[in-house]
Amino acid sequence: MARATDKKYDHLFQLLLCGDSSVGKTCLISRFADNEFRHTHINTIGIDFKLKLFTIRDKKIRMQIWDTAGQERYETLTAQYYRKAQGIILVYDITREETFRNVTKWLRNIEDHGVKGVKIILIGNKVDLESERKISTRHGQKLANQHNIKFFETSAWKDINVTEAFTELAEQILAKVESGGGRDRGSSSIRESAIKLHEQQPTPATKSHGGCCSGGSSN
Amino acid sequence: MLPTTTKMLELEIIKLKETVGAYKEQNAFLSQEIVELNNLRTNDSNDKKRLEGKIQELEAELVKVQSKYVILLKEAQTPKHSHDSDVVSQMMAEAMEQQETGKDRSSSDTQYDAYGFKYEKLEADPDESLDSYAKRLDQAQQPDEALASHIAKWDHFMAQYTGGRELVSTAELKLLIRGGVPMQHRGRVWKFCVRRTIQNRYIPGFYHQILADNASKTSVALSQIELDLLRTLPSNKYYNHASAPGIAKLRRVLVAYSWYDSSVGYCQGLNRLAAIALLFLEEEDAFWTLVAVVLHLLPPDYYDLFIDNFPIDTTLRIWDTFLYEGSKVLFRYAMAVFKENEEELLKQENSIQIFNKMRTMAQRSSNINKLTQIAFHDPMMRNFSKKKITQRRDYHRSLVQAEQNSIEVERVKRKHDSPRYNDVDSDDDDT
Repeated sequence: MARATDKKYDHLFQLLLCGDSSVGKTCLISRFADNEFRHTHINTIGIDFKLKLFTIRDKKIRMQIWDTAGQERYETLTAQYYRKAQGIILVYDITREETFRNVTKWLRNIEDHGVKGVKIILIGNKVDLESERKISTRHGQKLANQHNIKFFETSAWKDINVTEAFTELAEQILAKVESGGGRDRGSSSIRESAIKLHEQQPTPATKSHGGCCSGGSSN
Repeated sequence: MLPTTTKMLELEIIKLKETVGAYKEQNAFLSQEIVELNNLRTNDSNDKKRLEGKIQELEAELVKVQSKYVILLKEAQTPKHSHDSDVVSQMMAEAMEQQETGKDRSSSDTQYDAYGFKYEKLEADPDESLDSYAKRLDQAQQPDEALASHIAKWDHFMAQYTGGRELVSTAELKLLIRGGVPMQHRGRVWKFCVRRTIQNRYIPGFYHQILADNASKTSVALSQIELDLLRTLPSNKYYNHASAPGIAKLRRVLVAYSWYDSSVGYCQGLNRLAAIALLFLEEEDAFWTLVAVVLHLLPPDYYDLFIDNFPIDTTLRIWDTFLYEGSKVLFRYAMAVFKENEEELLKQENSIQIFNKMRTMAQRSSNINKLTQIAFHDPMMRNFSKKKITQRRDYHRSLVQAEQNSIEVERVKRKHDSPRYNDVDSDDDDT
């Protein structure tokens, strides 16, 4: 049996996608991880994930990409995953104004629940629907600048800028990990979560927990 | 003398040569005959094999018909109630109708299964062993005699309830349901289970009334419902485009529920419940199914019901039993899947691997009879009384709650001493 984890990798990054319902989070992940696009797929309930092995500057990066349900009701559930993510991709739909208005709300969520210093990318998705565009590129860029984060306009369908956006985020995390942390303590925890390991070796990070699914008992 | 003898011999040689030529020709002709006859023989024996196969099929069909006929005869001999006299003709009509629809299906809808799902070939997964794939193929192709007899039992059972008589909960019904409700009875049985569950919540005409009363209103729930309609069962022909026949019904059922239960409104996941219910039930009954599932049968905030994890036949079989016996069934089936894959699961090394494994093992759970056997008869299950399950659920819910509280406490704290804070360790040890 071929197991994905038999491959060795240098870093493990945990990413998360958030944003309003139906902005294209699942499609972006499918495009990036499997180079696939489905016009019809089912709405994500709760949380899901995909894995992707990816190489940047000769470093093998194993990415765990968490996909979240956009409906507000699931926020308490998905918020629990924010603090495990080193990178977050926040998505809105350029054809639906309210999804852009809600970006600020999502940023607040990230600030509330995420690890301090978590890397964030803003994505305006569905540029293939140019004729239905409601949010200009300038507007998106301006908002990203205000929050000092990178901005991409993408199309999961036409495969525009998707890999670029994920790569940028991975680069940022890698740079942070390799620089050995940074100024604040928040980043040291990021270093811990980016466990550098080869498979079969126990976690070389400072702390090691017993089981992986011991749930709340280890806290 | 000599020259004449030579001449005669020469003539003789010419004659002989001619004869040889003739024989050669004849030989070629006969060879060709042999080849042709051989072809005819092969054709005949192929025909024979085909016809023999046909005979076997027809004989099998005959046995099935005979067994149904015997049941019908028995039914006719001992009418339990006076107005049962037309049972036979009614059942005959039903049978004919079914045959008709069966024909339609095979001629025009070849790419969809009986429930309207796009037919997908059984394909081997890259990491699946050849042996396991072969078993799955084998399973899918076996003509199921046990199934035929199970359906006959159902037909026999349902014959008691013709003429609009209400079903009654009995031990026999419970067992039959555990074995799976045949497609042609599923709508009636589900409707019965739902009404039995919601009891006096049910008000005739209420469904249409609540839709009419709220027709002019809008809500957050309504816009979320719109976003999800086409993302519900996209591989099913009743739901695969905006004007597909199921979409309008699905919309109305979800909208009605959102007005009925304002504390839930609409929650992603309900769309799939409603869509599955609508495959077998009228709109109104699909609405009451949501009421039964959300307000009576499921533990809170748990609306997924395995719908996209298991093969559709498996999902429907779990629904059959769930609607009759309640949420413990879900737990039992979940445990059965774990049990069946115990060995494989124990080989996994971390939570991500386990998560992945669980996904594939559910997708391959097509042997629902085996799962049912484990779910209801495996000795392991004796350890899981309803009380114990509730206890464990409460315990783990409290752990999750505590974790959420600690996140909240930390969040507040972080807001206060913003630049320097002790963040919780992200326990992400993936190995």
